[in-house]
Amino acid sequence: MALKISLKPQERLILGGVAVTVIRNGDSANDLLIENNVPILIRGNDIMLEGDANSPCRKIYFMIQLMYLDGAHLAEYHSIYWQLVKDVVEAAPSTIGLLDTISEHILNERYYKALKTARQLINYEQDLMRSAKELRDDSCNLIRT
Amino acid sequence: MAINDVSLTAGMRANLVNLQGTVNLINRTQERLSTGKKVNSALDDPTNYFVAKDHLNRASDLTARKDGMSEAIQTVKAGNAGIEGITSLINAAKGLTQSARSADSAGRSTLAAQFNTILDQIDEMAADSGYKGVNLLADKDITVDFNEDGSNTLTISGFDASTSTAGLNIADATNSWVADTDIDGAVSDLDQAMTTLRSQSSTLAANMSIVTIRQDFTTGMIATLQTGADNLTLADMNEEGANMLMLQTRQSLGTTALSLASQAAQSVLRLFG
Repeated sequence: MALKISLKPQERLILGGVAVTVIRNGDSANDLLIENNVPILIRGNDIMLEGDANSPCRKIYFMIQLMYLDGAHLAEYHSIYWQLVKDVVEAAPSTIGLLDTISEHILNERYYKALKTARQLINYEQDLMRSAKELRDDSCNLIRT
Repeated sequence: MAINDVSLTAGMRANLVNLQGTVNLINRTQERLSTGKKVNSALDDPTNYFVAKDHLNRASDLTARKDGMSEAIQTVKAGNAGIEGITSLINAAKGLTQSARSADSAGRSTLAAQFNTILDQIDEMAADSGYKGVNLLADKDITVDFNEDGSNTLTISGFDASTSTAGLNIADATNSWVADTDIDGAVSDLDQAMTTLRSQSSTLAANMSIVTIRQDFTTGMIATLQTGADNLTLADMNEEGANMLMLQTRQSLGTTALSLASQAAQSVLRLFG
């Protein structure tokens, strides 16, 4: 079954298995139909730049992206990934289910699915941090005064 | 010490204040928690208990998969050791052909007989390079499962490393090497066999590195599942949130190196900047 992707004007898309291809849409919106089973694909909005990887789970997302973009350095990326995952699991053990799913996808080279699940992980992280942050900011104000 | 003695940049000061705030928060949440594991049995908190147990079960499933990968690696290693052995035998055989060129006919006949003996040894070595019944050098394949349902596998193909025509195709010494052309034939056979061995050996090495990377990754998964399951029983949303903030601050202070996007990845990411 073909996979249909609606591209906005100028939206970029990364496609491909062995060789990574970057596609940029022209000035009009277009539907792109992918007819064969392309192993991986990331849309412009889903691309994370290094500077945006500013939380533990966002760093994990960024690492998965690197594994896909640059398969030649998998071993290095894996070791950084596990360091990041270890830190997150120790800090917040309830992330383990999502992290396990992500890891399983990575092991099976389903990076697109891994990134999707990593997005959920980032949302979960935000939930965890939000209330803690309010409490912390109260604490910070106490220290300042 | 007066407060002005150490000058901090605004960024450092903000980090420090955040850190102090988080430490306060962690102390507060930890005070509220009872000592030791919050959940010790299914009766205390059934959900967490069974979730933790699930993770441990999964870790043991993965261990079985990892064992399969280890077996494959052992098989490839056995094949590789065989290839190395055969390579040195071929070199020895090549040495014989060189000696034969300057030998008289009696000498040539002896050397030709030795050559045939070496070919027999190659056949024996090819036959003995298996591991637990799988011999890559006897044209057997090995399939490694990376997941339980077998939808993701890698097949490592073996090849025939014997001297037969289906394999390395090295003929026995002809005419006791009386004529130079007899020797030429042997040399060309040996050169071709060497080329075959080199290319098979590099294919095996590439496959082995794929399996090794997967195996290391699976090891990481198992360790993470075990750590997570052990700590899951301690889970408390507030404490976890505080820990995550702490981790974020620690990472921003630079204890975790991330700036490792390689050239290849950078060139793609730049397009999205």
